[in-house]
Amino acid sequence: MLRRGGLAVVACLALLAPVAPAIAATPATTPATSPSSFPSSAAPARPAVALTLRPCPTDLTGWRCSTLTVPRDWFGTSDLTARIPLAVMPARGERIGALTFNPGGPGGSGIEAASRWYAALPERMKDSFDFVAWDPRGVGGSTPKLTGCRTKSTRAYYDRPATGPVDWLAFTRDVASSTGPELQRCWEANPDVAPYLGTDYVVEDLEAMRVALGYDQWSFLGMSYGSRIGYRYARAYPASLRALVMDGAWDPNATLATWAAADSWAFTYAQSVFSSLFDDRLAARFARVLKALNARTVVIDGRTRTRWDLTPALLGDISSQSAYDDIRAMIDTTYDALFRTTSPAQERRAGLAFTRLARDAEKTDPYTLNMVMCADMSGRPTLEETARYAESAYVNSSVLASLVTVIKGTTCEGLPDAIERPYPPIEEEIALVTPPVVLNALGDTRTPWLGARTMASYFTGSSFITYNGTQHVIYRKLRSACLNVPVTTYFMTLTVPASTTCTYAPLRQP
Amino acid sequence: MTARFLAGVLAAALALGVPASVSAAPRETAAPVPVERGSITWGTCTDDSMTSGGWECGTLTVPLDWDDLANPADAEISFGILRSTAPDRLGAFTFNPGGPGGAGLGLSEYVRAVLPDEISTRFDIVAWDPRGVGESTPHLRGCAPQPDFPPLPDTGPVDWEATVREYVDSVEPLRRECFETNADIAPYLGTYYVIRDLEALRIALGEERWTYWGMSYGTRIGLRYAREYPTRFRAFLLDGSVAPNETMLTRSGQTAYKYGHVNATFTAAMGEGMTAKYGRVVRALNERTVTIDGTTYTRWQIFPRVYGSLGNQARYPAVRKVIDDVYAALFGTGASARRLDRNLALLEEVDPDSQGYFIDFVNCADVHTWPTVDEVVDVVSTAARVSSMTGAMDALGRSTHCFGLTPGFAPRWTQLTRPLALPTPPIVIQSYGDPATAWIGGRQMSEYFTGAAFLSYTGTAHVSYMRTPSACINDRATRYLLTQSVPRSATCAYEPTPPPEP
Repeated sequence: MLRRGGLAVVACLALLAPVAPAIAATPATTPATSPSSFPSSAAPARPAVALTLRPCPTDLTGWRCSTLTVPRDWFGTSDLTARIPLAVMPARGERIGALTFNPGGPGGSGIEAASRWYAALPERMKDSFDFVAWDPRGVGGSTPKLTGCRTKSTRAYYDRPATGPVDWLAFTRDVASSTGPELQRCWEANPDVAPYLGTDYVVEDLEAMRVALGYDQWSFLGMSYGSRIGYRYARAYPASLRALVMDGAWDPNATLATWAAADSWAFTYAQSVFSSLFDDRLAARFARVLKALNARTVVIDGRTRTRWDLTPALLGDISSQSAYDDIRAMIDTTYDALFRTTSPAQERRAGLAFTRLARDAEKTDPYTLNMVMCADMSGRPTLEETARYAESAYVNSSVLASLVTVIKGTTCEGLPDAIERPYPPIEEEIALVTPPVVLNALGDTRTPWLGARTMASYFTGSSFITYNGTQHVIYRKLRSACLNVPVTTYFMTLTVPASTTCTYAPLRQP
Repeated sequence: MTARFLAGVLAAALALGVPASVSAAPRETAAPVPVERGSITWGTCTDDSMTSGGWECGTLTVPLDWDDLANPADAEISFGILRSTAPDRLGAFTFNPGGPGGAGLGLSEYVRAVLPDEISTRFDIVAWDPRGVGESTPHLRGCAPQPDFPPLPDTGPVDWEATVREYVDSVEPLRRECFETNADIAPYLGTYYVIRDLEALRIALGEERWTYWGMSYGTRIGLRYAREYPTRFRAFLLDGSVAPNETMLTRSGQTAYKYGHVNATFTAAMGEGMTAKYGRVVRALNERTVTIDGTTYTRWQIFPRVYGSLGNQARYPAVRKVIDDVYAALFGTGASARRLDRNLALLEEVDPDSQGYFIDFVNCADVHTWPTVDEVVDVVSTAARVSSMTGAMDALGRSTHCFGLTPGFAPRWTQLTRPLALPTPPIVIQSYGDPATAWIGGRQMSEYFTGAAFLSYTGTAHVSYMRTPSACINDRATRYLLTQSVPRSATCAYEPTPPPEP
């Protein structure tokens, strides 16, 4: 799919002097300079690279693969490189353009998600777009990658009281004293890697990839954290975007503090929206269960369960509709076990649900997430502030909400301040030739609705589609014409849909 | 202009459901004639708006303490009724405009006028002042004015911990003194008694059931009336609803995130450019003051008024002009102090001293789990960090109602643990960006009524029915009030209020 025009652009860009501010060569000791803006005229030096696409190994049948080599340090002078693996599925018919995506995380591999993602797309999209999957630096098959970092443990913090008040400050300090040294060791063990992870670099990689593949523009689908890549790419290279969809969108002005504090209410919203989707008694039962679990433990399927393992099962996966049946079974069984009686069959069913939900909740991201989050955002909360947010989350929701708060609030413990290379808050609206589409569920705990609303508002003429559910990342995940058709049409024809709210779409139609 | 005054503007504007004049002078009564409890003494209407148009006014005498009828003290509930002469009369319509402290009588003509004709003519409209409010007795007396908020810095960070502690220290003794001075009446002002008064009024008027429009705090009255007298609502509209199981802590904790939703919603509703512009104004005013024509303005003069106005769409044009002017002064040219003052004045009309202790006594009787000072510090600091300075100020006001009071002074309230089933399920109307009662509370309220409809509005209106031009809300609610047919839940898109006819 390489075209000659693309290479000309490479040469042209390579002639531009790198004006972007350099970040410190030894970031551990020198404060980084935040690039205040990334106008495309100040693009970093871009090496001319030609890519040869070859058939991909094994499971990516029909895709063609290559690896893009780029400077590891786009804003400095290091000679080190980064390698970005990518896979292309050519358009089957008359090509409209190139569509790429990021599945989120930070830490999600595009290559790994490629087949599943492609399969979910409508046929007319497959006819019309080259699909490009890639692994952001630090993820999957890319380099640089963190090495020598111990597997994170999120289990053994604090002597958690089964019931009654929790000392969230002690809890937070305990988490910080456990993860801080691990993160610090990881940072120190990776001096040539850790400072070069972050969305500012990913945006440059993505632009280099576009040029190297010879595409005039990207059509971009950013899911979850991927919306941050899309947003920053739009700020840096507005002319390089043909279309932009942010599905499960970040708050463009999020700080580490607001990110952590959001869980004091995001779970309340999720619980409420979730409850409203089912019968009238569910809301009361759900609320009563959460409240009771702070006062007592409960025996289910022969095992004593506490709030520390039940609330992650009840709320941890609430932004995934595929977990709804299990969550409802857990609510009903826990309610009956607390206040009535349960049948053996019901208990067995709940035991299985619990196992599935606990497995999902145990997924942890590697340290890449910490490095990217801490590079991208400023405003670290103090441990006292984090404990305060955790207390609010406890009052408003549950120990699960507090736990998530504490993990977020301590994300950057042990990392030097110099890792921060955040954008300054967005000041002016971004005017793209074709405004973007933002989708978000009202009760999304991963990317709360409020942040997505704000993201949409910062793009002139954008479309904002609200889903009256809790599903995180929505496009082509649900059978809802209200959600799917406008986005597909937008990609195909650049028709920006009217903002709207779409009703709940069950996974299985009743 | 003191910070306390501004905070008062904010608190009062957010507390009240409807921004019409709500203060009515206590009635001068003639020498008391012994009247039987539960009986009505008919008289003439004293509220200016009700002297014509066919209103009949009276006073219902009820026991001050519904649980101790041996206590000889009475309360007098003043009401007015505009009777329907329609052959197809549907019953009695009543409302409460919020607060606590909002007077029904002062709003009677307003309510009659905004209701569609087919409602106002087919119902008897009944307006009443809750005990302690307007023309109804008993009234609190002999209380010192509530203290000022401690002075807040014009720019830069605020030491919220010191501010909270100083404010609590100053308000605590005064509130205790006010309570003690009124020890014979202060424990009897809570909603527990108000719903019994409302039931007595229904019986005295010979009405079978109420069709009820609860606005803001009026939804708390409605909820508790529905729990106590579930068969006595023919139809029940909760408009700008409180949360069903609110505690003082969750109530104030909500403000920590509520303002993010207010910001996102109103700037989106006001159209392109406003989100970025407003964000810049907020950031800039936290760093510097702005001087226009020699007059210096701080964040405390701008934001409390802006937020205090967002619940009423009719003020959007003035809000926009204020923001435009401040923006011009900060980043450009062309600002005029005279114009800014004029527009700011449009955003300010509520008397900040209106019944501060009354609000405290009602809220603290109604809502339990009072926060400690440390918890208030937590809530307020969190609001300041993750929301806005205005959010912090709002949280401070909302979380400190009960300092100086002793728990247990009023009948205990229990949380709902199962949904209420009414013969006709209610409708809850709530805006995403409601600056007074957070959207989540209304959503939760709808979940605690079997078969309820929830109408979300993507604006910032606090109390929306007939106060926004949204046919999506108004038509559904009107049809429901007339026919008792519960609509499907829906999200209704923001509709701008058309400018008034020149």
